Amino acid sequence: MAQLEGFICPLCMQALPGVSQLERHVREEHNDTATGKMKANFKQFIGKAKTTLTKQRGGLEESVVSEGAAAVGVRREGEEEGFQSIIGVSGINTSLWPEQEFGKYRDHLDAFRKVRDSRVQRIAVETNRLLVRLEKLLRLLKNEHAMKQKQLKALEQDIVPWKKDSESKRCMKCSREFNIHRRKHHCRLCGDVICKKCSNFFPFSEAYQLMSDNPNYRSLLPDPAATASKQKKNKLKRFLKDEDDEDEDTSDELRVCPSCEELLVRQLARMSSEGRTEVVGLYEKMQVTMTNAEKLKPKYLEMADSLLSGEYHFRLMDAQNVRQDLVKLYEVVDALSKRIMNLKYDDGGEPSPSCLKVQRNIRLFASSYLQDNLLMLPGLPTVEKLKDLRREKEREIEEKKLRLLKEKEEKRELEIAAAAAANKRDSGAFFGSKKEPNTLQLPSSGMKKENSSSSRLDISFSAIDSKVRISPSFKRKAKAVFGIKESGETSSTSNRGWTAEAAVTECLDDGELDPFELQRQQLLGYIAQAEQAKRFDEVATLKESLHEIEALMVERGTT
Amino acid sequence: MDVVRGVKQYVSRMIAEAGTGMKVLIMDKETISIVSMVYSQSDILQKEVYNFELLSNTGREAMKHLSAICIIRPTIENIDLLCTELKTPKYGSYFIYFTNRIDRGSIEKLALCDDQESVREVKEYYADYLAVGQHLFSFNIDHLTTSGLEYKRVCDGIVAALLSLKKKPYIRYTHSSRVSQRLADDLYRSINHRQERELFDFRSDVPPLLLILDRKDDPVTPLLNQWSYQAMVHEVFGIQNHRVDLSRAPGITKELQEIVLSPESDEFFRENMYLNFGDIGANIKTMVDSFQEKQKSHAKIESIADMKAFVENYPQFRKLSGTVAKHVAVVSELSRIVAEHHLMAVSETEQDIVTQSEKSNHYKNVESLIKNSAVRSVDCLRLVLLIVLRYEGQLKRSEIDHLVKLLRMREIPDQKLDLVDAIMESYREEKRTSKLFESSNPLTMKKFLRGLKGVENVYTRHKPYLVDVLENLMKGKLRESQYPFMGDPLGDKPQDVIVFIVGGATYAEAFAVAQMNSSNQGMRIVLGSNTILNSESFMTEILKSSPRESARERFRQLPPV
Repeated sequence: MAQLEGFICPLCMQALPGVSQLERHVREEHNDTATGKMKANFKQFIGKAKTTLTKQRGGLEESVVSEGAAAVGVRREGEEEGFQSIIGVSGINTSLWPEQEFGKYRDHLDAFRKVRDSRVQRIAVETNRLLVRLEKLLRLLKNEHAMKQKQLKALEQDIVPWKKDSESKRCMKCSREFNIHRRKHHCRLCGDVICKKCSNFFPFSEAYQLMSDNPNYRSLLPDPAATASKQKKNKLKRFLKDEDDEDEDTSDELRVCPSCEELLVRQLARMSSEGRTEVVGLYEKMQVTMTNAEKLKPKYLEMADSLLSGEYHFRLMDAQNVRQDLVKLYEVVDALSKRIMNLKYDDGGEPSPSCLKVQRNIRLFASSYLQDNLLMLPGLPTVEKLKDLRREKEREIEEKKLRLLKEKEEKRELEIAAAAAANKRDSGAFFGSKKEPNTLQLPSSGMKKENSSSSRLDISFSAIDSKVRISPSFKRKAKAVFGIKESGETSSTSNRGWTAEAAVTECLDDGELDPFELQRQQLLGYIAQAEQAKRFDEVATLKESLHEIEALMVERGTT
Repeated sequence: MDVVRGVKQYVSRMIAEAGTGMKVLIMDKETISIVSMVYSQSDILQKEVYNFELLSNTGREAMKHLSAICIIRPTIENIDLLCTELKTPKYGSYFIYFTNRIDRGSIEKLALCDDQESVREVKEYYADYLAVGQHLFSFNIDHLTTSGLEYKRVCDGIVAALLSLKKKPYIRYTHSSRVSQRLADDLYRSINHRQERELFDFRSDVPPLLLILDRKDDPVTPLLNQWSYQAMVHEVFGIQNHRVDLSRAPGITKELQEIVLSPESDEFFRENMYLNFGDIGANIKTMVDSFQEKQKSHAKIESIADMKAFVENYPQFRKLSGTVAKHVAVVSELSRIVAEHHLMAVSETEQDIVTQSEKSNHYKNVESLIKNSAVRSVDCLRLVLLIVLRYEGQLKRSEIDHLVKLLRMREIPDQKLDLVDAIMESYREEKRTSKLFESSNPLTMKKFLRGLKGVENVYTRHKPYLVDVLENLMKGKLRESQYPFMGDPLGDKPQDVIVFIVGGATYAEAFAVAQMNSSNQGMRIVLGSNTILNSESFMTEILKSSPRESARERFRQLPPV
């Protein structure tokens, strides 16, 4: 099956070649319709909350609001679980059983290591000895022109003591008897006497490779001038020949026995095994980008949620910047995975089938990652929409305050009527229960892939929760900062009991003496700074304290 | 007591232990099925596993930038292959997992080959069985005798299943079955082996039970037409490792020629696999309707919110559209076959034969069905086999011969007609522990009455013999003379029961077990077998195990003179 590249815009079904194009396309083409619909949704949502609130006047404020939120949450959840409800018709349920625990297992690594390590150590010792000898031999070879033949041979045997010819009747590897046809040779590394058949030849080029991590590597390399000359080559040839060799040409190889060769070849393989290919580099980059995106994503989700619920904790511009950064990261993932897929060898040749398969699968992995992340990213409101959202929110807060006041008045009337002791207990209970929602914390990261529907319920709940908590003075301040015109507020102020409350807050506001307000302002400043510095962890903790303060202020404002 | 979770947890732990980075899974022919039973390729891809290879494919290219996760059975061949692999490692690092117990010698042999020190893990994770369903495992081994590699494979596999479920059971077996007894003996030894004692060190208040049954006790269940979805699909098309071959369905599109029906990845199938064929039709209709509705609503996406909903649901949407196409194809082909070959009438007669006692009527019905050319030959054959089993000793030889003659007229090959004699030979009542049709017993009257009451469904009146066994077990009434203990008798009302059926289980039995499990009667049951039968594979099994055939087999194995 051919793999289709690119994405289709779900709004207009236009095919787009890449992630960035889709992103731009949606932003440019569909923003208006989208925001319109979102606005309508939001209004409906607020309206619903409002009606439930007004209907249940007597009830506790907090519980009503959260009920409203729950109702909305359920509605949304219902929409999303349409698929499940189609399917969930019947089935045999064994989920009553205890969770299957992880099965029995047995670990053999220790036993394995014990055997391997002792062997590897022995090999390492032997290899080391060979390498030391090889280094000496190569050094000898380099200075060879300074010496005479006889000297050379003696020096060579000085490095590796050769077994005496006279003591060896048989080849030390294949145990065949030496005779006129089977002549004696010496392994240049261990000095064993071997026959011609058991002689292997280790190329000098590879010997130099073995030396490549030796600190004296450079000094070992043959002089280019010296090797160039033909004469030297002949000498080299002579050096390599045994006295008993007559008919061999081993000008660039070293005679070794099979066991020594095995050790050298093994060492070579070890040294080359750490070779990195281009895929690895690109893949690691992709992984790093993904982890960066994972870190940034929850911050963005938090900002977007906060903005969409009309809060003032983040500036739209900052959110836009974070979004841009995030999308950029996703684009990098997209680009890297594409590059991995189309990777060719340096020489321009096609990669082997299994390499290709791996590369293609990496791309598949990346595109499903992008589908899960980039396309799920919630959008941001436009400037106008943000205003609307914030106005809505303000109105809601006003209403809430109003109702609280009303309630208070009713309460006061009751208080007059009822006994003082009972009253105290009553009001204590009232505030006690009111504090509860404040302990609820905002979910730090919003939508997770697995349980998007349930976490969305959390978000809507927390959005309402924080809405409730915003203090009126904060709102007023914010209005001043953002220059938002107050509209529709006059109508709500006409209610009785409002003026007195307004006067109190006004007073506090004018004097700027409220220690809570001061602290709040400071916090807002810190948050702005932290945001500028992109230290989102701090933003989160600061925001938490901000919420607490605001909650306190709301409480204070009503008492 | 969930074998699918058992295997899944092992595999995902293996992959997690290899850490981040590009990975390749190296498997053998068996483990590749074991893994693919519980994970789809795309599931595994999400865990950064980008390639799958067979250990036996020695021509693999070296890719040092990959970590290799080897999931292999500890066979001699595999260990040799792995030794060669480690001498010249193709991958950067190796995480080796054996799906069963491995001896110290093999570990040492491997260790001596790892000169490059590329091995990072050597473990035994007992994912050594095919987890067909939560409570059903198999080994895809057709014919189980007490000799050969297959027998050892099954023994090891059961041990692995017990280890993965963390159960050290006591064992009961079927007295009349030689294979069952041998298996019980060998398993008992494995579990209580001196060296493996630390392995089976599980504590439980009520000791679990391993109950070994033999297919010979119930030749009826695999011969019947089935109407629950999974069992029916296996009966009509055959399910092999969750795969169903639909290529013979007329007008089938290319991508639906081979489909996957896995309760793990297919939600609709998981929810409906035990439902009756009729209900499936209704559910599929609901699914198609709502899918079309969704499709329509997706066609007019107007806002970001719509788009978001679309995108969030997109993977589900696409999956659903695949699911819809798949199940519509399966069900429509099923209904075509049911209608064309009068499967309803066949099934009703089958159920009559096995639940009632009206010899002459049944005989007449079978006779007329054989004469009906629309009925498939295989159905005629199974009807004859059922009536021969049912009225053993009551049917005259001439009557049987008459039926065989009728079958022969349908050009059923002689080899298949041998079945009639073979089933009478190996499955006759004196060879069974079970009384399947207690004709001289007042109990039959009870069964008969139950049939008359027109209970749930004329096509599903028969209950597998396994249900009787398990119900007796639950009541503590399973007779020790028929199902003796291996070793000391330990308790008679177990909570956790692993049932192993020698000679093959059926999806109908898996369904019955699922029902018992979900009815929550205090007993948890896992069903295992060497294979999962349908009527076709059962008939082959009958021929293979008939004494005449095995004599012929033995003769064939003799060296030529």
